[in-house]
Amino acid sequence: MVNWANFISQCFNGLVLGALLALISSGLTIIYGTLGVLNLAHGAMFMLGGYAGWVAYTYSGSFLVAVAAGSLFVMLVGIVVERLIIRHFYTRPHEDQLLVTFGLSIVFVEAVRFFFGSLSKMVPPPGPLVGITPLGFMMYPTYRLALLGIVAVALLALYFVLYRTRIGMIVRAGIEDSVMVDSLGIDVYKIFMLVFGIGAMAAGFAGIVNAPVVSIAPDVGEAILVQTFVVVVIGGVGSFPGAILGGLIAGQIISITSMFNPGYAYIMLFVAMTLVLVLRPYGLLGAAGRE
Amino acid sequence: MSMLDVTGLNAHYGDSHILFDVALRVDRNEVVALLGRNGAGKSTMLKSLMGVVKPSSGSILFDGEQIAGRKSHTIARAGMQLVHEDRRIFGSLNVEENLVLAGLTAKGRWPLDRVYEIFPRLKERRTSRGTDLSGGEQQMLAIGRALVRDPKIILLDEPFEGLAPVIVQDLVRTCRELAMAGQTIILVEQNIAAALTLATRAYIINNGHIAHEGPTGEIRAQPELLQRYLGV
Repeated sequence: MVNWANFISQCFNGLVLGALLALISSGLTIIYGTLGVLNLAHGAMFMLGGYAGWVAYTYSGSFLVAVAAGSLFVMLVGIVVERLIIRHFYTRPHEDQLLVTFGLSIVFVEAVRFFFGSLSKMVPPPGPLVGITPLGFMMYPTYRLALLGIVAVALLALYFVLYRTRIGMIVRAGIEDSVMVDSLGIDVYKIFMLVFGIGAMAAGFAGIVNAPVVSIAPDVGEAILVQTFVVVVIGGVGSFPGAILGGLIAGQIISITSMFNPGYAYIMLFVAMTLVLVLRPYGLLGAAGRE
Repeated sequence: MSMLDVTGLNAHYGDSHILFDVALRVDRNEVVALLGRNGAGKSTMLKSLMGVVKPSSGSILFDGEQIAGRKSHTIARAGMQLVHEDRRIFGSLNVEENLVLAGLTAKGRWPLDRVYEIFPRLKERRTSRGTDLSGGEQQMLAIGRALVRDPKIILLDEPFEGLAPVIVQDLVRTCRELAMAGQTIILVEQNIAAALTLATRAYIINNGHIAHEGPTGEIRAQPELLQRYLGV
């Protein structure tokens, strides 16, 4: 028999997880959409955001500084990696791109393990957000509620940049047809660098704001990477609204299945992905005809 | 000095050799047609000029500047625009955004109203997304997007293909007006009648080689040329 209080609380957990997955996935999907590179190091970016934030927190004691440091550090890592490595792979086969980004993720994970060890680290939530909030029908951790708001604001910010600014217009055009953007006199390689930076930052930001919920460890990005891929496939590759819808769906699937049997969470996730691939091969909100 | 002076141009797609030592010259204010069968190398020629396909060797002097092997955005900034055969409109952007985007890095950018004067239909549809446009409207937008940049030369790849005859008439008239105003154009077109009336000079390209070059009047007077190389 289903315990309804438990069920609703799981739905909330699913919503928080879903919003987080939506944010990380939108980073991955705009990178793939624009650059055509499937970034297997995206999970490592999530992890790096957590660690950079943790380091900043240890020195400053401020959660805000931790969030800023985590996001900016990962954006910088993204830009440097794109300039030094990824850009040499745009004209190479997809296998090479997968191998190099996979290699990068191993380097990042092992570098973190080398410097910080394998034991997990905790960043506590900021003071006012500690504790539990009564919602009338249930009690819910305050920070998780706040996290929902934080991620929603981040997604809105990303939406604003993508849909209300010149740069966003160029990025959306680049997701569709980067060659044409270049033919219109816009240096598309600069846009690639920026997109890689912003995409990585989305993951890094998610990594640090999630740290008070799930403690960080060097391998924390691996599970996230798998889930993020499923989200992108479900939502439609290159689609920002698709990443959000896919994220919310995946969050609920994982959360609700876990209530019955956590072992089946991934199975259900992949079942959902398979169904989408069978019924709508380009994803729920994806455009047909993409390469 | 010619606006465009191409010599010894070779281009490949993967392992297959598409263009063989092509030479081509376009003067300022001139409209030149590039004729040939499907697969003769016409589109590849235009793409090589624009830097979309990287030429394997050869020289492309554009207004005195060597542009062979340069990136497309550099070539675009030097004043060249290619209107692709498949138009390549950004479907998720609306008409106005497509035009604004095109003008962002142009030196002598046109005011949008000037484009709307040429294509009033685009003004009516300026908030429609690219995916919602008809074929004719997409073609107008593709040409408008090139014009916004006030290019020194426009390369038109089959601008009349797949459009209703009425729309083709309109577009031909527009192209003629542009030519009268002094716009330099290279026109690739299967509609040979339209191409020969718009252009003053034509090149016939066959299997990646320039087979013939001359004034369009001369080509029209030699039906055996068209018969041999174009099958008409």
